[in-house]
Amino acid sequence: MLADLLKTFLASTYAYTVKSQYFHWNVEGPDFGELHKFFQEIYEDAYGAVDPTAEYIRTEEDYTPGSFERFQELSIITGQTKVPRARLMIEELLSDTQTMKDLSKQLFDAATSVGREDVANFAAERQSQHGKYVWQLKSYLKEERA
Amino acid sequence: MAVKKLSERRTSMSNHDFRSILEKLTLLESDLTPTNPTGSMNKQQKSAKQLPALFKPKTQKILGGDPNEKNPMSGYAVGGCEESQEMEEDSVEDNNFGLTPVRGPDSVESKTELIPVRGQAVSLEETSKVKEEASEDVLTKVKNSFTDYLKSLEDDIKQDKDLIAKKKQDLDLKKKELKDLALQTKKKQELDEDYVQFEVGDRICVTGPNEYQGEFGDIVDLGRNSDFVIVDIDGEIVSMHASDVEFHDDQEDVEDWEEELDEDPTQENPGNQASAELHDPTYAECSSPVKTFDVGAENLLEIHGDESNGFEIRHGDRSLPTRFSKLDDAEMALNMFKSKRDAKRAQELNADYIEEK
Repeated sequence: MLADLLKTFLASTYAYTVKSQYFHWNVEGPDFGELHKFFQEIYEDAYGAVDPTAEYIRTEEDYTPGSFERFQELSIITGQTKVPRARLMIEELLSDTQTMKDLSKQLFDAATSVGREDVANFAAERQSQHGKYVWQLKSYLKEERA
Repeated sequence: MAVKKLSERRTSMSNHDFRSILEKLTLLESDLTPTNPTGSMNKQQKSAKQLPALFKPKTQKILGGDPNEKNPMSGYAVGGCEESQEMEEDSVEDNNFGLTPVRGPDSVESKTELIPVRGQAVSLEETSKVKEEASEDVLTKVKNSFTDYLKSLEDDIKQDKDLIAKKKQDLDLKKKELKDLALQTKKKQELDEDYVQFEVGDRICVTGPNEYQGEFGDIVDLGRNSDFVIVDIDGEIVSMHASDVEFHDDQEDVEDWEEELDEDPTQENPGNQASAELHDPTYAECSSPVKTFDVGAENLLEIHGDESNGFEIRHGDRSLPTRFSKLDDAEMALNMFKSKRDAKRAQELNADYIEEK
């Protein structure tokens, strides 16, 4: 069902937002300045997608979940309780961003199949944005050319 | 009297014997045995006077006896005697108002109730009086016997109490000896300057030549006679001799300083602050440091004091409450703190993940 997929998307977006903000607070190292700003950009963008997703669930005549416990049940993004070094933060966020990109694709396909173009458009935007962050995060991890 | 003679007869009996008391009571009871028991007697038996149940006739003295003493058996239905018959006849005549009664052969009529006591025909009033006196005497005897018996018991109990008191005294003496021994041992320990009394919970530093030398830990248990201590060193329980450890309360205090140094990277150089103390007359206890330690990030720890007053570690205007008797001990504490801090930082630098909480 589209509503169930939207709920999973909502909970995962919320978990992704929290993690990127967590790294924004705790990043350390020589690249602190850049990474601190970059992680802020990522979580602000992800948080912007939370409210539209919740409203699309309501348009499917279903109730929207709204608790940490429920989000933990539904999310496919796992939280982080320790403080990784900066490079590991980038690697972990890269993996989660790739996951969100794949989930967006799945939502797009589901919305299209039931004729919900508005949801499909929204999913397509999210897929594009997550793709952009995947590219940027990968660039941070690459070694500088000699 | 009859009772007196009875008591003389029983001289061989022990006064403290309950049996003797009971016998006296039964004798008293036997004096009061009814003379006309009618329980299971037939008519003929009822008409005759019966002997008491425990009747014991006394002997009559031929020489020196009472010439007027009646036959002890007179008046009872035991064959009769001339005296008893004459006595009954006299009593009948007295109550006939001058008239001579006509009697049939072998007829004995008695209108006056006579209660024979020990075979003597006496009047009722005299008999009751005698009985009262007899019972009083017996009761007095019984009472005296009880009193003597109780007194003997009291003496026995008192003797037991004396034994108990003596035993208690012996035990007290033994305890006193042990106490004196403990006091002597304690005094000896106090005189021994090298002796240190550890307690559970004390913070110690391992100074002995073992694998844990230089480590800090807490005492969790004491061995026999406090010669050995059980120490918790970073979660590991280790047993070692008490001479291999020393008191070190300073470790926690120094670690508190470490947090302060980490949290405030903009902190002023305490070295400058320490020098300010020397020039500022408002600071108390101004003194130049004996030694200065750099623990990193331009944080300085100083050792102040002397051997007479002891050495203390200062950070800025704050000082540790612990005082060291020797300068070497203070230096060793600072070296250990510095090495531990460096190791922690190195560990953090090499770790991919560190704890958030």
